[in-house]
Amino acid sequence: MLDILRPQKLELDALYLGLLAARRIKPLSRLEYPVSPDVLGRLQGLGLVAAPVRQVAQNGARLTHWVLGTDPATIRQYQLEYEGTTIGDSLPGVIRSEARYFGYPPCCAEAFIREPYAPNDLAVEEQALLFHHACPGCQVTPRLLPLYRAALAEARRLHEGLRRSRGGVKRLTAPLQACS
Amino acid sequence: MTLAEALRRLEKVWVPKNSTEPCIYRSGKVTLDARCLERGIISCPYCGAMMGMGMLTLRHEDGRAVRFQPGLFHYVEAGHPTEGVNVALLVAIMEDA
Repeated sequence: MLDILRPQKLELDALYLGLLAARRIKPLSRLEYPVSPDVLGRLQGLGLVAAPVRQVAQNGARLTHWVLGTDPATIRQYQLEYEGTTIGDSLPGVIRSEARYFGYPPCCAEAFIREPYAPNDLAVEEQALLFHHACPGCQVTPRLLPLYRAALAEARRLHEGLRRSRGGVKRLTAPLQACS
Repeated sequence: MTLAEALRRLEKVWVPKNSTEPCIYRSGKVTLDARCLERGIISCPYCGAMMGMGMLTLRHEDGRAVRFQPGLFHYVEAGHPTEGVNVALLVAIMEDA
């Protein structure tokens, strides 16, 4: 199976998500995994605030996710809504809420509620840029694509710079710390 | 064949050498369509492990098809419930892959 959780991809995506939030293409971004201190430094350099959100899995495991954003009030609002909650199924209310916080078009959220992952009109390369599944015939997502594409290109530059500065590949091990 | 065995067999289909076009993998009589795989990561609701997001479609050349989320690989490995997946169909397709 292709390893969709490989550390290098997650690290690039952390920078990508950070850039999307820093450029306010997404109000918030969420990291579900730890990142190394130098990645954290790059995120700080983008002017992002990071805050922990603790949730509980159904077996009782405690998880800490991190939300990144430029607006402390939005981060606080997200914390108030999700702190201490149990991770569950994707109920319509959660899908709508996450769409609002993470910048997913409302039409895509509603389509997802009706039929998750319904075939859409995007090219594979376009859908692969996104963190949401575009709805069939979406009028909003095509306008987001150039912004996402530019952010990913910048994230790749940042990531390449990080790798060069390390002199090799480094695994993700250190816990994420708050940016402020 | 158990679901775990079917997924282990499917893992051998989902490798770069079987890619016939972007995000499509073909081996023998089956095709795995990963075009609806998403970029994001989510936490397993049962135990918190990280999982991929999106939807995979497994098709047999005879027309049978089954959709499931990539988290199914983790669910089976961890012994979590696999509700919402047509397990019998997935296993039947892989038995004749």
